Amino acid sequence: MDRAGGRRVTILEAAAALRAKKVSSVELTEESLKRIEQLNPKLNAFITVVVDSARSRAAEMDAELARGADRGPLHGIPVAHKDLMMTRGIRTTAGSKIFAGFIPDQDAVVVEKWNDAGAVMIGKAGLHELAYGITSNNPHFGAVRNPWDNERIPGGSSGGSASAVAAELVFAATGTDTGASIRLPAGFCGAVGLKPTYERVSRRGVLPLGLTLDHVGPITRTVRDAAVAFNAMAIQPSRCVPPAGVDIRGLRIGLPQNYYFDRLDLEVAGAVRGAVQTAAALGARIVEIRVPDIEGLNTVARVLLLVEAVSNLRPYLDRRGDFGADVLALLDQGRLISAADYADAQRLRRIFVREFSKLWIEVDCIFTPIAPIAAPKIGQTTVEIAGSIEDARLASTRFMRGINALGIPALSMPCGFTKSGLPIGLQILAAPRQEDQLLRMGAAIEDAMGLLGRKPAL
Amino acid sequence: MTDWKKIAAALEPPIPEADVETIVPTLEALETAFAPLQKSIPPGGDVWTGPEDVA
Repeated sequence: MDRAGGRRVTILEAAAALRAKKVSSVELTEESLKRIEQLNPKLNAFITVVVDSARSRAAEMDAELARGADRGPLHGIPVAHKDLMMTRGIRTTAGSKIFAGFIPDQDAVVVEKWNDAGAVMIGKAGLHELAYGITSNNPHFGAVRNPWDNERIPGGSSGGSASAVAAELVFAATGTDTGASIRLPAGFCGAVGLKPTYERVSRRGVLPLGLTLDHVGPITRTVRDAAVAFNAMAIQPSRCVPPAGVDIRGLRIGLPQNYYFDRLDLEVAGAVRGAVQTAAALGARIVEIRVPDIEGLNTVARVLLLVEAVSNLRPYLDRRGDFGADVLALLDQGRLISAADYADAQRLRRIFVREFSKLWIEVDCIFTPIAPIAAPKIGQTTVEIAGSIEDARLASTRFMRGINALGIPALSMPCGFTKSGLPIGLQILAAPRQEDQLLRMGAAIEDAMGLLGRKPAL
Repeated sequence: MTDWKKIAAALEPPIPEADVETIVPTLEALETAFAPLQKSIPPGGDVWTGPEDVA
């Protein structure tokens, strides 16, 4: 398919071309497979590619469209699933040695829903081992690489999903987010990621990490594609896709005066403030706010996740040699936290949820950076931010981790690039179940900032 | 501070002592950050019930 003058082709454009018979699902699928053959050796975005089933599925979707059976905008569109979504008859590794041979006998609900919507599954995307980390530098399946700079991480844990979407290997991919794992890779790879409200997308059939923190959502090339992909996976979707010229006049944007802009890279701060100015120029109202203790909220979220992950992986704890060193260290930490501490974390969580809910009286959404930095290099364990050295994992997640404990929706989207050409991500937060509002705001900014023309040089 | 090594020694399966050494600094930092928060929990404070809980 024509690459739209170098600009990224979207799901909605491909869907229109399919219906106008300018392209077929088979052709889209062949193009996807060709790009994977060319680029996956460099990116390592996929653990499994299902060539034959993708081809036959695409032919089936073309035949359906030809006889007028139209399943909607995902019909005939090549997609990938993060390799912890159970896929019937196709191995689901969770990026781990433990599940390397696991072949489920059923699909995850999210896989089933995208199948029902007509998507063509091309393969299973790589991830951080067991989705428990942010580098996607996987000791068992190799490092997933960032399309904008192959020496850098794509972020994680849904690193393969974001890398595959940003490199245009597929139009959309599923992800999971327990402490940043959709939003961070989307941000580091210049893609769009939506972490919906907790339980707005079913977790059934998704290999779990944090029982009360896991969120399932889409990673796409554009905000409107995220709306399409989200509607096709959500429980009770609104079916709303932001129209062209979406109006955000009067919407109130909360701009935090504490925490989020205190300690971060200046290029990141500048790009996010640029997005705020763009929204203001479109008629949104900027409201200065003070957010609750985000460091405290992050601490609570860490305690919750450390314990919940152990609960999920307890049957395998005697196989220490089968875990990567970073995951094993986190599991060991979780085993040493007491049940009373976990219960306290759940009590504190309620306090934070209630404190945060007061903000939604003042504003409709909140703008923050995704992370204080752009993507670090593969193997880099510390980063320097504003003159201080920080742990790369904790630094990369400190604007996002606590949001999972709140369970509110969050959109990650590009808002600029560093001088060295790495994407910078904007995080937009909203009240529970306000995904449509997030997507409207995101679409307006995406249209106005005009960043879609910039693609990685692969 | 919590004696992490003592707890680790009592676990089954055990965590090797060398591995405990590497995670103690992280756990100590987490405990330092978490303890003041715990003290702020009001008596009778209930647990999380979902994202739509409002004050």
